[in-house]
Amino acid sequence: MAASKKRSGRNTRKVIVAKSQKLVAPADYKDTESLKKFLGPQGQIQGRSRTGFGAQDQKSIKRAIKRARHLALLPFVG
Amino acid sequence: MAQIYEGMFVLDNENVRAGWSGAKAIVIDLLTKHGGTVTTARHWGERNLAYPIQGKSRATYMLAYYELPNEGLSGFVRDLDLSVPILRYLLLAVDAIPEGEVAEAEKEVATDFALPEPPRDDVGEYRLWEETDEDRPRGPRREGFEESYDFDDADLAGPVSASSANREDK
Repeated sequence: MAASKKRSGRNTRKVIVAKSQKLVAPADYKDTESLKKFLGPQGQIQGRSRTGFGAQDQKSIKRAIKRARHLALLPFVG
Repeated sequence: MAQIYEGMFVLDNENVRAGWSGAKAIVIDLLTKHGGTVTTARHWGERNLAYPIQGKSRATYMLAYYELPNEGLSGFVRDLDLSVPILRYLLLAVDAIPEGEVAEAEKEVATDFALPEPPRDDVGEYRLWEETDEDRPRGPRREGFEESYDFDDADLAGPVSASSANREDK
């Protein structure tokens, strides 16, 4: 019987969006089509572990998404 | 000292449908009242809102770049808050006006400018993701499933648990 390697559930779910698709962090709130890529299915902002961006880029995404949400360009939920 | 600002204004469609120049003038008048000078102001599209604002599910966006003295900012913000046709606004201090913005705004100044037709999603609600065929659950399509399924008498009697089945045997 082959020994099965135990993998942690957290690592198996990790999907790095930016590295796999070679994306550039959008810093503009008007670029909603690009910002949508960094939202989850319910509209939540994806974490840095999922987007693959550094701290500075992740902050610029967060700021842009929050500005777009204020103008009802992107949803808060749903 | 004056600062260049970028302003995005969400305008009520009732005012926009009455006339774009009139709706645009609401913001421009407020700016000039507080000592601002508008460099560019243009229609940024009409779209479904991601969530309703004051019971409105659609609105028109206006993008403007303007200079405003520091003394006039607080008064301008107060007037924006009190203005009924302006549903939302976002003001950002910027270093310079982006390239191409002036050319875009000049298109509206032309006499033959007409307000663009409402987009195809005029009817319906905002959706973050457009549902595609890939989004449906995996497996065979379930359309007509109910019709093809033949119910037995045993199914209609309800589920029989193991303990109740043993009781009947005894």
